[in-house]
Amino acid sequence: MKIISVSGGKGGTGKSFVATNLAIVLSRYRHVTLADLDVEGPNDHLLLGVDLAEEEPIKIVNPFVKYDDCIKCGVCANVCDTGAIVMTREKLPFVMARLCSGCRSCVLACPTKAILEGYRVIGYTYHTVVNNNLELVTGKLREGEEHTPPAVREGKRRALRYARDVLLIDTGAGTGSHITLAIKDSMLLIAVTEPTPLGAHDLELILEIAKEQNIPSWVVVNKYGIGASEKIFEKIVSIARGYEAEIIAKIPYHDDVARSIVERRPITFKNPDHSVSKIFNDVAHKIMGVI
Amino acid sequence: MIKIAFPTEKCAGLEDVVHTRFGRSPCFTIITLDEENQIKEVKNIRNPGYEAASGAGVRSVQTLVDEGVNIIAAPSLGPNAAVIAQEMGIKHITIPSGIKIREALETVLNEIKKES
Ligand code: SF4
Ligand code: SF4
Repeated sequence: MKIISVSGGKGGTGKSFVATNLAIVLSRYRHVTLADLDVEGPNDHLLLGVDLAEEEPIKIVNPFVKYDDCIKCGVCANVCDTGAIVMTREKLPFVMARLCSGCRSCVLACPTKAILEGYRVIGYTYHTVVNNNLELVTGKLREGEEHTPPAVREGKRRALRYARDVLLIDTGAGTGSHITLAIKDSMLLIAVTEPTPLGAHDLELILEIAKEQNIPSWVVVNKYGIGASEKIFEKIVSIARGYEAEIIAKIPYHDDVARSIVERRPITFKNPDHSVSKIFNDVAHKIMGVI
Repeated sequence: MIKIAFPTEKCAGLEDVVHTRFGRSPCFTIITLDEENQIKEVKNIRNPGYEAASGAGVRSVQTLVDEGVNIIAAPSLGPNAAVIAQEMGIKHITIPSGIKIREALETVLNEIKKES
């Protein structure tokens, strides 16, 4: 089983568009599990036009204090990095669940074992069978929750349960620790960028994260040819070269692409002979050549 | 006894001005009132939330809990600070930023009178 990640830095580069279409094309040759780990706003199911199914809760440790056993020492508040424990006027610890990352430091540090472990649901994972050769696993945080890493970890764990030939990971937006976690153990990273200054900037960050983990990268330039972006494109070329990342595809902006997204029918599915679908075919062949 | 905390810029007591952001203000000016609502004590403390990488609001509230504050007078509280303050029984009174603490205190005293 091979893991391939698709990442794109800030939102809006078309990372999910690339991931879903690539999953469809690859699934003609191999079994593909697509993991949507954009836990703050997963949308691969929308792009694929399927519903989220088979919900399972994502739980993290939620400490609670047995006040009878508490000697009011304040150790728990001192060890908590997230500032989730506040000492009241009576010197009793108060845990603010929303800030707690479930790291258990307070549980382990309490000298009288007064902190017990409960659980809290921070989000859900889903599993949707798209067709015989394509399954989608989605991780989703609950509204107002901010702890993305445990949700990414759970989503990935669940996706690994179904993965047979290829696990294609659609990472979240951004360049933080949740991305590092999502792409870990990948044999290849596909960085999706667009020819804008911000796109170029984030491409560099993504390629750097991949390099730190010794993951080879390829670059897909999406929305190629919008505006006078030749200079920016040259910049992307030079960044990619600096990381020995090959630019494997340039996807032009096309009305049919926009329409396929609105209609929730991926272009490679709706119109396999479209010029954009052919680009995805080429990328899939290239991937087949290395896995 | 009432203790009111104001987010301030320079730790300069009654002559200081109200800072815009509660968790990120450099200082707090804490005013203690006696039974007749007269100023009994003015104290300046540094806000540990000012330099905190994260959880600034919560750290700030913790400091004020330790100081025995029961009212926070500030333009606004962050969502986490607001929840913690409420849990700790600290009341928030909204005041404009940029005004002198002396003036802000008048606003707070009016609010207190209105409620009693
Ligand atoms: S589990 Fe970790 S984050 Fe949560 S309250 Fe305890 S020390 Fe803080
Ligand atoms: S570490 Fe344990 S005993 Fe100490 S204040 Fe926290 S809960 Fe109480």
